[in-house]
Amino acid sequence: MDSALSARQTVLIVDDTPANIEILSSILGAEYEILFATSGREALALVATQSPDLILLDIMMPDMDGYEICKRLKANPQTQNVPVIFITALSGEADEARGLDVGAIDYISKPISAPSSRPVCATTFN
Amino acid sequence: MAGNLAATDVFAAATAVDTAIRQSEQDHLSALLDDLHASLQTVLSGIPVAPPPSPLAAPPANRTALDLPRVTQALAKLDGLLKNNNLAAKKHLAPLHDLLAFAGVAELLAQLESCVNSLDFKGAQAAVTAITQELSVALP
Repeated sequence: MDSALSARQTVLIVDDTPANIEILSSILGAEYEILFATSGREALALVATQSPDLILLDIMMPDMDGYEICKRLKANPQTQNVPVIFITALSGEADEARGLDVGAIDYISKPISAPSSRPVCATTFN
Repeated sequence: MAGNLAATDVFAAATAVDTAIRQSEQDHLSALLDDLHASLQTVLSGIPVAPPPSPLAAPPANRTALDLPRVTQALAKLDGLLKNNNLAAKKHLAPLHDLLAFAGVAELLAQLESCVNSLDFKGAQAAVTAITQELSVALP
């Protein structure tokens, strides 16, 4: 079982709202190993010791916003190649452009749902 | 009842009292009642007095029956998952609960489950530490 688990790809969910983590985990948990962080600092500390295959990153968080976290991830040689997908309620073109500008590859829009989030993750891994 | 308790003296004294009452032997009745009282006291003093078991009482801790190697392995696995904020920790609660069912750490287990389910993994790690201390096990 452990070898089966470790063979699965790992997704790090970063969101300051535990309910959102629970929702995404219920959608993706059957296919991927799920790690979580509820703050930017916790996320950056976690990626220093773990190696997630994908990071789902909330934009609006109190200690450090998603853009800043993404910038730091992309500036770090250890994490710069890990794909980042933003989770956001912001849907303007400017917000999307800013996200792509700091290195994100895609968006998942809130409210989070299986039809919107599962294909985005699958596409990333494929 | 007297027979079940092997209280033959009580049976004899009670029979004598009964006979005296039926035959209106008032003169002997007081002495016969004293005999009955004395024989009853003898029987009652021989019955061990124990409080009835409380239905709400927690099952007694039976740590000698603990499978310590498996408990240690399960706690170490859970601790590792908690340190990495890995949500697989949730799946490891049920087996641990079974392993520690009679370990006398029900309160700490409840605390651990509550912390994991609310994604308070630091609190959950503290609960794991408390359980290991309570059971005197060292995690690898």
